Amino acid sequence: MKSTREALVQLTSDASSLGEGRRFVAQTLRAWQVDESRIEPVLLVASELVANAIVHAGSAPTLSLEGSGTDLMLRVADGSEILPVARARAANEGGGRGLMLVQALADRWGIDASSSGKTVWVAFEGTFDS
Amino acid sequence: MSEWDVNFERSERAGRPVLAVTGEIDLAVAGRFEQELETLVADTGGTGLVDLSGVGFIDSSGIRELLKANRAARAAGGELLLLSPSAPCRRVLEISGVWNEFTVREALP
Repeated sequence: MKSTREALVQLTSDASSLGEGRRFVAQTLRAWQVDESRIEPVLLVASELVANAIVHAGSAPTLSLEGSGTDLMLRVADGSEILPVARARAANEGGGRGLMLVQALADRWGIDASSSGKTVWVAFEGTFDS
Repeated sequence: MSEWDVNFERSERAGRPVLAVTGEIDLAVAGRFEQELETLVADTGGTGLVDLSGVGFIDSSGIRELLKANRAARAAGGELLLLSPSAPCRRVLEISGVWNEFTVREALP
């Protein structure tokens, strides 16, 4: 049984947070000795969710990673109650494509909404296998 | 910080204008990517080559710009040719379900 590991970064509402968020994810997961092939989808999901928070919610998101057992949980929290929507209808325009990517790459995902904002969480199973 | 930067470089290969993209394409640079692609399509009257071999990361905003530029190129009677997309780039195109919307070349003839 592996112990729980946690790491968190507070980002700004600036677009530079996208690169900063990816750098945080890459450095944290490499430090946790996660296989490179399993890091790439997490980078993409983190980038899409941070972009959603910055653009649609206009807020400064908090990005966190939690390793528990063999699973990795990624969370992006922001102070907006505006919920992201996957718009399959607009697939050719690219609108909503980000969340479709999240759906495709996540083993489980969801949104916890509260009066102070929301947290989008994404679970990656088997991240800490082998 | 260079790992996280993006660079756009125009050149000619086999007599064709090429836009080579190196680095990371996300929402922060999507506007620049859009302009570079628009210029490429305008300069070539349609068929332009985008070298994606040096792309370390691309997200949905980058895919959106490629789709838009391809539509513009087709409207001009040509198409956008993707040259040697990197493995991460290829995977995002596939997961996005748009891989088949592009003509991909692994090398120039």
